[in-house]
Amino acid sequence: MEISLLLKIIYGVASLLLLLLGVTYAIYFERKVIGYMQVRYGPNRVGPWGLLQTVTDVLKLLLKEDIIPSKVDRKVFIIAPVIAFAPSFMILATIPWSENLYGADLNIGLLYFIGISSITTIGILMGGWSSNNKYALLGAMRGVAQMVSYEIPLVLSVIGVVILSGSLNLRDIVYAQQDMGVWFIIPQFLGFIVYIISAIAELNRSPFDLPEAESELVAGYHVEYTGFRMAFFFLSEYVYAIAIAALATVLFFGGWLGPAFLPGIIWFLFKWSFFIFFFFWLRATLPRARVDQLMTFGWKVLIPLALVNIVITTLVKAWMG
Amino acid sequence: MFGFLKGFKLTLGYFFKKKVTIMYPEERPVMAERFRGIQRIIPERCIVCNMCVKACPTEVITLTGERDPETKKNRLLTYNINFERCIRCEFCAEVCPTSAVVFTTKYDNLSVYDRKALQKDITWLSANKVYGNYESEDEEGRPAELVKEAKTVAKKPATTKAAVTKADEKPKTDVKSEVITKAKTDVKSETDSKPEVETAGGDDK
Repeated sequence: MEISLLLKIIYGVASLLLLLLGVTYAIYFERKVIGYMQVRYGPNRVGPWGLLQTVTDVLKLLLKEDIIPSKVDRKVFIIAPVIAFAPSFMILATIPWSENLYGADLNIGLLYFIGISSITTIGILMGGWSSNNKYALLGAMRGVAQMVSYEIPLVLSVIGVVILSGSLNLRDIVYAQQDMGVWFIIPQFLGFIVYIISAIAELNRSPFDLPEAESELVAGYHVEYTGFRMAFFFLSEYVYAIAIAALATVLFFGGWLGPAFLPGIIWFLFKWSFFIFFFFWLRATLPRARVDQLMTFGWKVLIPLALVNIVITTLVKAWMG
Repeated sequence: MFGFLKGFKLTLGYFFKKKVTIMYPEERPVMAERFRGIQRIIPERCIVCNMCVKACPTEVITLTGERDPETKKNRLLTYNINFERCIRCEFCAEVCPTSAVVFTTKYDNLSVYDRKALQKDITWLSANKVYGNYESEDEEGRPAELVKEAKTVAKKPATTKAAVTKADEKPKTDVKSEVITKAKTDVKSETDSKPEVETAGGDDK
């Protein structure tokens, strides 16, 4: 009992450190990819190929003065970044990175993932409200409206996968794909499309980055945040990008499955980086959507599509037995 | 409806395209001859007519001269340009009757930490032996030689080469030659204007 607890703590600390490293290089990768798509090189001065660029950026952020404006709601202001970040780290526990590398083998893993991840919305609203700033409040309201409306198609789109695999356990979902002999992206193509669109909206990533639309809202809900607290908001955003990409890999791309000449973790990381690349590719390609377009698209297109996907999947499942 | 896929294709195409960035301190672009860089003073040519001082709109030029008792000609003694205020209008080079003030393509030796260092004197100004839009025997690095140097210095020769060819094309179609060809074609018929362009461009160098 003692040893298993110790192992869990080691796993948690190790994954936090790896996560920080991963986020650092996800940001570097994003800047590189967007730079390359804009026919320039991106960061290339700090360290070999600019590899230390984000490290210096983070150091700069941490060394900055920590300002708490006098008019903010102090307690809420301080706790908001923690509430925004903590769930994003908690959900990583259920991700099976490989057949034997996972934090917790929960039988309701998918439900846990989606349920916990929506707590971040509260952190964003708290940050926006307590800042006592109109831009922060507007950004937070947009963020909450967007995240609440896109949570629904996100959840509905993964139900198809749950119906096919008959389990909410993320490892069992991968085993189901192994048994079926085909990744769920093929039988669940419609569900995958709905999932990826609503996931991007849920992440507040471009083209759905309305909550922090620089050109309209200065910076959105974290205008008044500086230094370490702002780093927390950014961190939670990138950890969600990593987690959502990992979930997409597990649900639709067969997790660690792949030809046997490479270990499962490599296949997982390969598919996962493809999703991360896709998010950046999207950012370099599409302009920002309007608020009304976003809401209309979510409620009138994605939710009906997700429902249609559930009905079709259920019928096929019932017919096939 | 699927028009946005075109956009994805386009950005992916750019992703694999050759980058336009010039890695500046290691790799330098070759400037066109008419680029207004740093002035060069050729003291032997100067007749101390003071035209450049009068023409200068920001009054950055100061000079002194003396009359040579043997040859009875004016000789330049000091020549200062205050680069804090120089606006690179090229008026000094335009008014100079003997082309003693000329513009070179050098541009990278004015970044200093001290303002006083921008007060440049005659020795510094006459040492700028870099190619530009002027005639002189001792100037260094006319484009052809500069290309060679750029090729050896630059880390990525391919990029520099592209920059070089771009810079080389510009002087060929410069204003002078175009004016000449226009004048010629106006006098003659407009039938064989194309060979005229080539000869005029060749003469220009």
